[in-house]
Amino acid sequence: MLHSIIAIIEFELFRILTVQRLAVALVMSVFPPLMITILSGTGVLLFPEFFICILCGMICLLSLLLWATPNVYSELEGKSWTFVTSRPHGRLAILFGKYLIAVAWSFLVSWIGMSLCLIVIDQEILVSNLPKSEIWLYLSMILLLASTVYAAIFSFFGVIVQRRAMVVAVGYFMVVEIAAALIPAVVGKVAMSYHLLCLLIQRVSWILPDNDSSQGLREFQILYGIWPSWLHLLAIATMTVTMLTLSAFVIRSREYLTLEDSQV
Amino acid sequence: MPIHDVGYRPWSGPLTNNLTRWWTITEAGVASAFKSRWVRRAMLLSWLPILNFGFAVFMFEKMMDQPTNEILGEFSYQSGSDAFEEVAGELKDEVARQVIAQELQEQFAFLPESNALVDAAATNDNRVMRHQVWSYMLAMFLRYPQGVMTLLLVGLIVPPLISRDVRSRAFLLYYSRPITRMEYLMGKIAIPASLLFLITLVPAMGLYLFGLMLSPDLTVIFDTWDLPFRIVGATAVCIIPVCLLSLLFSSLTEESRFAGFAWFAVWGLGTVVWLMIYIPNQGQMMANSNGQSVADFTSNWSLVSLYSTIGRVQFWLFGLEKDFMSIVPSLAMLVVMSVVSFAWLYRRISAPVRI
Amino acid sequence: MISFEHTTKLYKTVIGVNDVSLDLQPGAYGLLGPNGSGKTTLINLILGQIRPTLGTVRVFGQNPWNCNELLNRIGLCPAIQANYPFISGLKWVTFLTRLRGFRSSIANEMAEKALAIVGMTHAMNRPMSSYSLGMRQRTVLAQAISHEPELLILDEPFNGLDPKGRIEMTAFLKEWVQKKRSLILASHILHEVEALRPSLLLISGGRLLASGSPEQVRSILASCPNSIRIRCDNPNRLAALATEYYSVNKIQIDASAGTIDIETLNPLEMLTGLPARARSAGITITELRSTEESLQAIFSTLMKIHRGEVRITG
Repeated sequence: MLHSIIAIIEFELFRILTVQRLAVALVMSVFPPLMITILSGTGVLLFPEFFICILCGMICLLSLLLWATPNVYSELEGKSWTFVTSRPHGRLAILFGKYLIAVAWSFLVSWIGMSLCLIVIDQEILVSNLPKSEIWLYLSMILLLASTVYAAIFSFFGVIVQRRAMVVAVGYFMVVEIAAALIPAVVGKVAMSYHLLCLLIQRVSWILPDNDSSQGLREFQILYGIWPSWLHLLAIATMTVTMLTLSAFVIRSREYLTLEDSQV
Repeated sequence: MPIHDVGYRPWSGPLTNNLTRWWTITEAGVASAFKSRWVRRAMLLSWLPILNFGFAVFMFEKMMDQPTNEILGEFSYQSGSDAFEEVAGELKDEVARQVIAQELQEQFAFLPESNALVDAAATNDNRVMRHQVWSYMLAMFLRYPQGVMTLLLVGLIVPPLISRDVRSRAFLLYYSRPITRMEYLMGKIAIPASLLFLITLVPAMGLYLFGLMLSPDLTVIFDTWDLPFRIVGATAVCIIPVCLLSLLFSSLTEESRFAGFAWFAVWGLGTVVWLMIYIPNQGQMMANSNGQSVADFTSNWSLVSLYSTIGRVQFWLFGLEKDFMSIVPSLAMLVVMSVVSFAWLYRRISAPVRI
Repeated sequence: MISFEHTTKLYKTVIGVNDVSLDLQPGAYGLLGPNGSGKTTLINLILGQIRPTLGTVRVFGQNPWNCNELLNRIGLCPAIQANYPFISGLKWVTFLTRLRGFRSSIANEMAEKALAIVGMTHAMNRPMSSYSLGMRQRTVLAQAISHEPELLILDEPFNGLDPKGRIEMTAFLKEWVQKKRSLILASHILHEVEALRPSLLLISGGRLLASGSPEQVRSILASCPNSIRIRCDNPNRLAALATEYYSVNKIQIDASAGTIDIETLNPLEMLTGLPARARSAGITITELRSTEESLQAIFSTLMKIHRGEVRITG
């Protein structure tokens, strides 16, 4: 199966490397540093690190919408599903091959954006006392974790609802990752954004929009509670493995019918 | 006995009017969309917020008519007088109006523009206040629950509408009939427009009627007669640019996922940038001496977000934003975006017949 | 090789395959049926793309659902055409061959060989968007045979092919059959399938209506009510003989063309007896054939038998 996954990855990479798709990636990578450049001299950018983090996270999620959610539907729409799945391990190769491509591509696009942001921004306007290199390291780690876990969740949506996966993923993000994550209860801890935020807070306390970071940290601790880092990492890893396992189970057991272009 | 010719005969009956022929495309598209359980669910879901907002209107009218003990207590505390005689029946006291506005604001504190309700209380006229509060409810209804539903519904149905025709070369099937490119375009635009009407205009009208039904008497109509017209304007401001832009994305690709992605990217990135500027600067706008300039700056930056651009124009249409000049950039932005989208869209769908 | 036991496949309320039982030994088979008759469903069941709602399917003795070992023994040429505008035919066939577990270099060699077999060497490095319909169809065939499967399944392979392409495709398939490899060819056009001399499986409305060699199927049909065209030197006299000795529903004489069309409930009896009587009467018959040779006519007859509306005689 590993062989098939590698074949899928190579083929998808080859497909990605077209002018149009690279242009999309370039625009997305350049958008955050462009915003930072425009806004950094205006004085409205009160928490630049937070801005970079959220904007690059958004780029990461949008990339995943494009590459992870249509894992099955793009094959059905392109009428290539039958060709690939009539090969041994074809279904699982599609799932894992596309998952890995989605992780790599979304991480790369958002990571380039984030790196460029830190290059163009002045150290003076950063709220954090940490050097840029350290901020870069922590943000890289967060983006990698975000790509990994959200790619798994979005891949699961792609496997179960195929055609509507993108909309379901957006709905899921708004309801669970934004709204539910704000609730200081068990339901909030289901949201991966909570764990990613906690990991960031533990490393770089400036994430809260509060200049007194220690006080902000205390308030956050009281309201939401912060687990040890390893527990947050475990939660993220558990979610990733669970989603991928469920996806593998569903893709193997479900009958997917090739689409007919019968609608107006 | 006459012998009838039962062989092939050309159609000699009347044909439908040229002006309405595009509606055939729309009908088929809407019927096709309604086959999807997801679309039907979205439609159902889009009507639910009426209950919430309708209840708020009911509460407001009730408070105006029969202030609760809680409000009376608050009024007594603020005015220092025995309130009952003064506020029961008709509200004449400014403090009572403010108390009611505060009560409503507390209920809708989760909405960022809820201070508009306090502003409403600043008026000395109960009828004006009623108009302001109803306008606020309708604007909020269209902006938040229906705004999110618009985002999702467009993402659900529009991406394949033209990209599928591009992929399957279906243009030639359309153009081999007496259908012009403009009629094709009209038919396609009317598909999402019809569905968006069903989740914005129709429920908003429903909310207005619901509010009327829950009012103490029908004289409320005299205070709010203009709101249906404002609803039509506010929904048109949303539907026209949204349909044109999303269809443009659909026409630019053979793979619907790229159209869906472009839609969510434009919506999401713009909104995130706007919120990231707006939210942290809210405090500064109020507190700092240069608050006004920051406010101007952030309002100009609302143009990066399609969502907030539409919202600002809708606010003006509902009379919640008084200064027309402040929304001119937003209005111009929507007009330019619609015109450019339409022209580009027309060019894209003309490609198969262009020599 | 393949066995179906009371296999039924339902798509919600639509029936795809209806209580099919058959046992196929290695060889060439023509799966014939009108559009929407259930051919593709049957193929998908063989490939394990879908599961039967009722009954069982066995391919090479195994349940094909999620059976990876089985898929390397089968090559599929589906009725759909892949759309990868920027990818060359060689790249695509190599990719699909690699998915079978072959190393990249070996898969590339196999793909080149397969493309050469289908006559696509000259265009294999061009993007697929520049291919004609026939070239795409040949590329799809190449991906099915690149790993030299034991069983080749083709779903409407002649779609979109020009006459030259059809001849080449037929020649290739004949060669495939001559090499004693198994083949299932699904089509709705009888003569395309007949050229390969396969065993026929006639399917309609999801039901397997008849199976056997073309001769066996024809003999079944000959036993059914049928319309017969006879060309002779004395059509009036032959018409009189036919009505005198056999049960005739309708008779139509075209004296100028020298033909008579006879509709009879007992064609086998007429076909075997009438030529001898004509010879005795000094009539020379130059042509004798069934006029209902189209697949649709065969299926309508088989459906009538199936419903018990007509009886097989002889």
